[in-house]
Amino acid sequence: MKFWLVLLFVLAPRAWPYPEMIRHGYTNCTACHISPTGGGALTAYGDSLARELLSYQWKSQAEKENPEDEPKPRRFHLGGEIRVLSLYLNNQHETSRKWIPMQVHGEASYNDEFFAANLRLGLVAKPDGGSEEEEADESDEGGGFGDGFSGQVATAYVMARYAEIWNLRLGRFLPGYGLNNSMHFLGTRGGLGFGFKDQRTGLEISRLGERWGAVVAIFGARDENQGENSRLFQFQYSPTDKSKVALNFWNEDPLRNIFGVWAVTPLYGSAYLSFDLNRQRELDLKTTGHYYFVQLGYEMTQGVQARLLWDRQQRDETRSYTKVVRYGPSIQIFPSPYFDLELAWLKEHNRLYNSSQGDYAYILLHGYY
Amino acid sequence: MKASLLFFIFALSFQAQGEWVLRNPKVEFTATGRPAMIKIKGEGNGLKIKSEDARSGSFQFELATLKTGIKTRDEHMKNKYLEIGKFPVAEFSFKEFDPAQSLVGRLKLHGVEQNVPVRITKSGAHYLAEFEIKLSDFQIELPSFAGIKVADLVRVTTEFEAEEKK
Repeated sequence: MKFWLVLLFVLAPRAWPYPEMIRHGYTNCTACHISPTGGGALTAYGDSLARELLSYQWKSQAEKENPEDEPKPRRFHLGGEIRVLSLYLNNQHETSRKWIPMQVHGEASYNDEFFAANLRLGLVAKPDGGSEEEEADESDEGGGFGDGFSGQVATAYVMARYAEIWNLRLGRFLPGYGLNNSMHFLGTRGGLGFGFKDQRTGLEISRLGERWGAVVAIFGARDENQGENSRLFQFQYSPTDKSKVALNFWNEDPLRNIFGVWAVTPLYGSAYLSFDLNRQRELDLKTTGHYYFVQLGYEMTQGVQARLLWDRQQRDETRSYTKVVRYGPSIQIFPSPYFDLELAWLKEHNRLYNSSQGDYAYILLHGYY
Repeated sequence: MKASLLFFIFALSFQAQGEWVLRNPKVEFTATGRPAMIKIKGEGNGLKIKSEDARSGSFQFELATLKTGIKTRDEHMKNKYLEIGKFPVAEFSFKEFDPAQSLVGRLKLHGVEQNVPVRITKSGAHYLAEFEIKLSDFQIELPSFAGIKVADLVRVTTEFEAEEKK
């Protein structure tokens, strides 16, 4: 099992959602994304915000004096996404540095006031080994990638909207469990199995109101080896205009129950805090584990985010060798719309390797449209 | 969006006759963008007061000082919707102010005057005034951008410290 695995399977097929935007008053994902749970195809407003708020302002004087005309809502959109990772590992198990082409996706979407549809196809880095069974087995453990690419239907769904706040979605998409954060490669996503292997076919109804929201969904089994039907319950609340907290419950008979809470809130000035804390009960193994992620961020200037990250996961709290802890700084830079890069240098404690402390560093290049 | 104004109040214990000065004035508004329920918050500090006597006067707010955190949005708000080239100032006039009661004053915004009830909270020299306006009442077109449309109702709060000029 290689560490960078864990990274890969979470980093795959979503256009980055940036829940930090909540601190700017965007408490619902649907301002920028078609999906009610964030990520994926952008709305026209989200596209505009990528230029106006997310990325560094390289505008010429002429552009500053003549701000852009109002873009029209777009019904049809063709887009895509590419992600490349450079990973450096240094621990008792291995010292390595490698570039990993992670994903290439194309996307087509339709979006109007009452209806939306999305289809996302592409190639993702393929785990070592090859067979579907092996891939499935590896996904939860963070197995090995690097054996070329495999084709994927990342999303294929249709969605109806009602009264601005109600959404009914049917098809294949990523369950909206937890904080849909680009940082989730750190283990919360990977450890809990909501990575790119975990798009499921399901039916989801969501209410995304001004102060509170809820998501209820049922999904089919991830595959024939991974549980039966699953149920998701999420309650969201915005105590202020620029913060949000959510309670999550995931039931996947007969395998597991997960309960979690996540939140995003501004602190002082341009500083903000987000966290995602989860406990998982594996029903078949009768074990309990935890998956904690905390991020302290600071927007140094528009388009430059500095962060301190802490992530801890332990699949079985009675077995210390299942514990992995990572912490350290990262910086994410948005030099222009449709492109960002992230650099992180984390310290890692992995009891499985008897590692007192290792390095876990990466550069992630991400382009989308 | 915007509505920016604020004002009022104060007057305070206006047993005095005269002029009042404001310190640390801040005007904020909150509007909602639909769908997605976006919270649009703006803030400005261009607030001045002109007191006629202890119980009446007016506040003037310079709309150009409003900022929402996004430059393009600010430009659209000020030039396309508030039309600050033609209507640079919002003015709130009041009479017979009693700091123990709420106030109904006359707000002039975007060239249109309307009566506006204001809730006032006073703590020492600190004043907090809150009111709501409908953009349509002031003949302000409802702002929209890339599929997001601002709701008609806008909440405005004003905070400042007021003291008698000596």
